[in-house]
Amino acid sequence: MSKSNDDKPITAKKFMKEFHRYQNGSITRRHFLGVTGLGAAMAVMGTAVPSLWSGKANAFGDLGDRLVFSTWPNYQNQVNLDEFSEMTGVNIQLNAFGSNEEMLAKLQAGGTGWDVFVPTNYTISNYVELDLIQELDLSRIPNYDAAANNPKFADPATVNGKVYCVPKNWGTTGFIVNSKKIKSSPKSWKDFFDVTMAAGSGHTILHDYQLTTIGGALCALGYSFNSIDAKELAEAEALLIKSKPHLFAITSDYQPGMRSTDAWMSICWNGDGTQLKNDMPEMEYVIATDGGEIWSDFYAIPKDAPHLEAAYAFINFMQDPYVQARDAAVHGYAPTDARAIALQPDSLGSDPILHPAAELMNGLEFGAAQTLTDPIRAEVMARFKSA
Amino acid sequence: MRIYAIAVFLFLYVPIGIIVLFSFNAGRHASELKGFSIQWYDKALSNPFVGDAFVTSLIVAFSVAILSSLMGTAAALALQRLKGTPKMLFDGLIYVSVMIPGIVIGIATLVALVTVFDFLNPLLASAWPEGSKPPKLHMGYASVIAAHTLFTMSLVIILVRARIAGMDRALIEASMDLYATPWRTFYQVTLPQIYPAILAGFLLSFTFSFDDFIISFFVAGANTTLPIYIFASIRRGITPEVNAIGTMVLVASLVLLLTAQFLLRKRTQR
Amino acid sequence: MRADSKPNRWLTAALLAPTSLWFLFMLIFPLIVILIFSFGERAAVGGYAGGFTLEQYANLPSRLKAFQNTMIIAPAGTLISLLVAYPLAYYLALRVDRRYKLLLLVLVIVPFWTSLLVRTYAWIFILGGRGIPTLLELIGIEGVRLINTPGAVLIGIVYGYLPLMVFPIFVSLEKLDKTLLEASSDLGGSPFKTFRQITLPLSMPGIATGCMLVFILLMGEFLIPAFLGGGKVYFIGNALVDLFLQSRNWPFGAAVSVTLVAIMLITVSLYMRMTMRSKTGRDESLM
Repeated sequence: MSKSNDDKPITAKKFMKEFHRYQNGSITRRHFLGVTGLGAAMAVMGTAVPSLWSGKANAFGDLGDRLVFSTWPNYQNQVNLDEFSEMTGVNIQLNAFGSNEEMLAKLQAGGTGWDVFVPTNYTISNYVELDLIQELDLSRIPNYDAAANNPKFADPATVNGKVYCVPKNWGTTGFIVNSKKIKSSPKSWKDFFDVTMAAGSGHTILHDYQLTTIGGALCALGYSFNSIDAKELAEAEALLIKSKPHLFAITSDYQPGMRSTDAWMSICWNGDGTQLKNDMPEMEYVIATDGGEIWSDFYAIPKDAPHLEAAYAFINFMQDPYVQARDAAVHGYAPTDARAIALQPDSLGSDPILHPAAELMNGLEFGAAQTLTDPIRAEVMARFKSA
Repeated sequence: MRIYAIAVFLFLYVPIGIIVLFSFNAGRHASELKGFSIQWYDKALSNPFVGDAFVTSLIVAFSVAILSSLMGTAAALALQRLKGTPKMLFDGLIYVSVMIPGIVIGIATLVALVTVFDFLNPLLASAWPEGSKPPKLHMGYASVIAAHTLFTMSLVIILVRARIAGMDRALIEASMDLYATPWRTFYQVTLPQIYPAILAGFLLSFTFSFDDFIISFFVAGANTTLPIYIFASIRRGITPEVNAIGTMVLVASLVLLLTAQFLLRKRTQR
Repeated sequence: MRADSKPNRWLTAALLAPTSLWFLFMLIFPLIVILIFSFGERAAVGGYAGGFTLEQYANLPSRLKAFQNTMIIAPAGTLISLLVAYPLAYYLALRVDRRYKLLLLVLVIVPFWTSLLVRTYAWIFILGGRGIPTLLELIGIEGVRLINTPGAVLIGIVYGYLPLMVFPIFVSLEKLDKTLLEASSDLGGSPFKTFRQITLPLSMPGIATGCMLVFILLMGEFLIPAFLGGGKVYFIGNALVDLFLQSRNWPFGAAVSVTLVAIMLITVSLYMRMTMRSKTGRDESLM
């Protein structure tokens, strides 16, 4: 379903506006399909290509009927996945992982059965080095427009001149605070850990992910988010272990705990912050004044992906600007693709969660490749968890 | 005492009631109830991954149960003829294999197989004729079945041995004295006596394998068993689909049980 | 039996061959590999690199808490399961009308057939903020936290393994000769005395079996602490999964596995010696 702007009966902006209304539940699916012309378009396509809706062999070629997609929690719009399945007859199995290390461990052990997965910027060079991901044939992803992507976020996809993945979204790592429960409005990682061990004791979630959990502790101590210095890591470990009795949980899937108000504070990625704030206005996403992470995620294909055709079709589908915008409308993470950004509501341009003040952004670091495999960081995290 | 029993049954069934109740939830989230709907049953039944996982689990569990009861029974029969060191050795192995935690079996099998495959795969590739794609050894059905069978086989041996120990020896000796062939003695005298133990072992093996998560988690490779699928569903944010699957498995096993009960009763009545 | 004639020896060997192969390839070989790995080093990118070092074993104290948690909660969970299961098994075996006995027994086992995963998941919900704590707030008790505590893990354990405990105890009580009990009370024995001197000793094989089954499963438990402990109540099983699936430290994971197996061998052997000394049949106590 390649949608180009000129055969759209309505403007792109209007489309997304209607789409937001549809998602909020203020209009019905029928209304949405009618207003946007999608219904008519589908009807036309339906008659023109009768096999299109039959599931199997169709305009997309024979893609098989399965795709295994490994990604992160709360990071996709189900409507997109359903639409892809409906159009191609490919059913998607979604796996959610809480850390890049876990994805790496699975791939290293072999035989994952994954077709597409979502690695973070700093891990890609490692995957290439370990020969775990495929070089992409960009001619099979025509929807991908390299020129439209912000190189700051898209560059890690290219290793030794070869392209191994295409960008998904970018975002920041800070923390979320339930302001009804915690009144002191913490601003830094130092505040975060102080509150955890005082007023918020028993109600903080740290990620089950070494990069962000150790990174947050390092920032609180005034060190780099990416440090692999043994002495600095030892201090971070001490801080983490000291805070452990005051934690609610160690998990990367922190939304359920925050939503049930069992937890009042958590390390948080900005899009999840938006998702939480949309439903509970008391949730405040904070980019810490003493540092944090800026990152971009990608779509990649593992070396032994069993459904290669479907994998390419899926990535191509997800690169469509409309699909990207529709994804972002639900998960709250910014696209790296200017074409998709152009489709988003204007209000997002001034959204403080998506576009934080420049001085806050300056303190953020991209994850460093060596943190993924650094033995000390791995062991610090494991010791903290079993402490 | 009766009140106590009622309390324990409540403890056992309230969570199950909740699982069943939420499987009919119209809402998307497993945490709040929003009206009645059977959509999640529809979703689960039309989801090919659930079907795949179910079939995989069935294949694995049946293979494990059949292998375990055959090999376990054979070993139990042979073990009563064994004496001295070999017997002690076998006793020790049976005891160790029952006692080792599943997680260690899973990890040890994974590590051992990965090592073997890393060694064999390049050899296979170099020995293979140019042009054609060499086969690649990897984790799969064989590794899960083999790993499950280690534990369940020992379970069958223990059950059958206990039964043999309580068996009436005089019957076997009488049969032998009457010049029945060993095969006939086995078939007509021994087997009917140890049959309940074999059946119990078969069922236990099946149940263990069907519900096992931790061993399969490490050695199933790309094959997704039902528990692995459920684990993944819970991790990606549970929807009532999981409740629907759980309820269906429960109902299926109940139906099986009642049918078996019914058939058995019918047979004994005749 | 005429056991030592030549064809019989061949038959014995043939009957034992598949089992021996299994023990060799699925038990002995993997354990040897794990043992070798436990003396190796972690490769730079994770996984295993050869070598000989005792470093991994020297690092064991860093998992002390996980070992402690397991060694405290596993026996505690076993004991609580026993205390909850025994009266129920007693009731089912000795007090229930014959007509309902089978039905009630089946009712104990049925929960066992829903996936342990799904059943444990139900408890996340019951113990979580919107479950029991909300109910307690209604009657004025506030600020109770259940989920992600050792208590939650214990509840999950008792719930998960109760049927395994009830069943063997039921079987041993069921075999009990009721005339013995009657004789005891006829001779003026108090109910407590009858229980302590007759019922309890005779049900020991069932208790021993149930406890052993539950204890063995608990020592390797991963799921229940993972779901109900929220990363805060950590078992050796969780440490192991972490070492293989997060920090990818295979040699250390191997060392932890070897240690766990050693602990199991020692505790279970001691336990078996104890129960055997208390004059219960060996085969029965194994089962």
